[in-house]
Amino acid sequence: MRRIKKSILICCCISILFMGGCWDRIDIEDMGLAVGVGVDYQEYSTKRLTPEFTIQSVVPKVLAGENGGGGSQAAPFQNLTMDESSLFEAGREASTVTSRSPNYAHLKVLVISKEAAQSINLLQLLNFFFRDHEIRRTVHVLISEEKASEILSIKGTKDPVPALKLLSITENMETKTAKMPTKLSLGDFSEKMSASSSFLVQKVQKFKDGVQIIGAAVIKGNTQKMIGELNEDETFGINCITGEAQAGAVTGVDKETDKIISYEIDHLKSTIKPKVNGEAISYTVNINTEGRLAEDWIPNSDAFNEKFIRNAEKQVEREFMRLMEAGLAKTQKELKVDVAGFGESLRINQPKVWKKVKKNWEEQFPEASIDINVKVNIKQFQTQGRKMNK
Amino acid sequence: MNGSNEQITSTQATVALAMTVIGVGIVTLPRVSAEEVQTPDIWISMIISGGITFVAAFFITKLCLQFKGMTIFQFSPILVGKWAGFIFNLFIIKYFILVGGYQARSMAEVLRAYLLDKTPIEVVIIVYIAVGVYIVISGIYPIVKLLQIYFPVVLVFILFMLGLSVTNVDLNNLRPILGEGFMPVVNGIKPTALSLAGIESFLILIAYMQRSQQAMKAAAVGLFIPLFMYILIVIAVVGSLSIDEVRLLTWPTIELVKSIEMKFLLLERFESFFIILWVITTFTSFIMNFYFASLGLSQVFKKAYKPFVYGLIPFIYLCAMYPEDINGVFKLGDYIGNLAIVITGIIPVFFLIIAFIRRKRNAKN
Repeated sequence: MRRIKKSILICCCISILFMGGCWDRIDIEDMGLAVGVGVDYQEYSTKRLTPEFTIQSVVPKVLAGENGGGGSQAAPFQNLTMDESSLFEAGREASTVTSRSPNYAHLKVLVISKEAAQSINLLQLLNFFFRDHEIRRTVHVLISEEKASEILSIKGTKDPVPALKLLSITENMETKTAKMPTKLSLGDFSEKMSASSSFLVQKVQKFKDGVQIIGAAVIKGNTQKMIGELNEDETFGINCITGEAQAGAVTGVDKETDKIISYEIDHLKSTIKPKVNGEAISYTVNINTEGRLAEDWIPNSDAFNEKFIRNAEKQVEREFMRLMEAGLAKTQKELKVDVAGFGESLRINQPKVWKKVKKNWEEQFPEASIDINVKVNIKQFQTQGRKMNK
Repeated sequence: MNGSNEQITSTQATVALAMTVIGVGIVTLPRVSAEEVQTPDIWISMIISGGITFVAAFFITKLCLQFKGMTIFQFSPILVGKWAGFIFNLFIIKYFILVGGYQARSMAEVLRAYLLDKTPIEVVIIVYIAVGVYIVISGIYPIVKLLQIYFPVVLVFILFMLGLSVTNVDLNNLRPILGEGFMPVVNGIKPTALSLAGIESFLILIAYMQRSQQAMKAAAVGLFIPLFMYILIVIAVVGSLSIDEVRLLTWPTIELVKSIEMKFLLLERFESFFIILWVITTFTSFIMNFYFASLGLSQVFKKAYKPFVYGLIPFIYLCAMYPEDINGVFKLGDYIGNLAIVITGIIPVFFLIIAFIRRKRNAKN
């Protein structure tokens, strides 16, 4: 009896060797970790517009070698460019040329070229990214001036993998600059699209040897295509209206001396209040910002003097006004899109009115009058108050 | 030993109820209710349907307390006659089998979509049922013991996930409150109430409670926990994804968890943890329903309990494999929801009225 029990036990132990395991096992060194993908517009071979799909995967060996000082000259990333009628198929076709099929679970950046964004419906183009279960909603979306495959092959000196470099630059929006719109993830993209509202996407372009993320691409909610772009000033203005500009420099010019005053935003609060009067809808935008004096070129400037500070605030306010008016002139009047959340504030504050105008909102929006009030508060002027003693 | 001699405390009954209610609804509730409501007011519907479920729980408890120590399977023949009771019982047993199959299949669908791409779904379901049999065969006491172990884990983990997603919540997505009046909220009552189905387990559990006079309190607390959790989930999901987006997603809650990114925690990919948690929550509902179905059969036919547990395996498997595709699974969910309305809403009230009339008549005689 005991012997039988023992043999059963042994059988069980041995069977673990054969029965343990997993159908879906992939060893990590056999995965092609895609960190960036680019989508370009392809000259059509058939009548249909076809995308060109670039997949950037990291080559871990080379990346690891750098730390050890191996001195290999190989690039730590590999770009594969495929063209197929669907992105999914292009991704699968990549498996015909690389031993490590792409895995999108660690995808960080998606670059769409301007040409593709202007000509292909983005809801269709991005369907693969929204649908695939490996791809996270946190992937950053950028629109590139040049071809996406080109942008993805520009190596940085500090960050060897182009996609990861782009990712770090986009994050500067929160702390250093407001000359790019706030970072947009795939999830945000889908949310904006599902509400068919227009929005801004960060724009990347070549800059000397490297890349620069500046300005914004405007995507129109109804047509789901890119219809224009904003320059840095206009982008800054829109960021102020939405309240996203939590950092960044604004340089005003002193009226009297015609010299510059630079102000650094520390904190910015924006409230958009809609007012409905019969059919006409008008808005009041109140901007309240606190920050510090970063630089001024005015001779005899005296920051210890309250008067000087008040004057500087005025000059900076004028510059804020100029930026925001430029942003509105471009988006509201020229491109006729609502990217600063005016419709959103109507939806929240006047849901009944919103229900009526929702359908044709962007046809009505250009007629809305918008009042802007800016209040700049310079809270400090850092380590030096005066340039010279009088 | 037919698995019915053991007794459970009222805390255990509370936990068992909560763990039965929390199930598939975690991942599907936001989409299903968003589809009906279409405004961010789902959480208000949730509160109202919570109230309705409390009323249903009240009737169920009232009914069961009139037959101390008896499950619905035992007292329904006494109450409505032998044959009518038999049919009622089979109907309820069919419901439990369907729910068990539905939980297994939904679990397997999510696993297939997110984790186990190539593993055949049949294998996942068979393994799941096999583990279920292992615990169900040993009767109510081990089951509730297991639930007691899982309960804090599930609770803490879901709250942790929701805590992490707080940064994603944009209050503007939840406003305006009642922007389009009260009608959308009313539309949302049915789908949200269905997510709280599970209270019917008290039709059986009360019979095993040591102190059945505490049943009312146990039902209230046991319902409140899932209700509270679902309200939080709905607020987090709608608040971070916006109502229009939620309607597009197959499993909105998992997408929410997927978008959690915490640099300071050095961790991403919380969905792997969440899916493990999800398997546990469906498993607890699954074993409860499996247990009820086997117990019901053994009490209806007055035979030993264990053979029925084994006998039900193919039926549950067939129910799980019955839907052809994912839309079929959702349709089965709707069908089960309608059955749940009958079992938790209509039958207890109907039985209560009969019991009331009978007692009157008895008093006259």
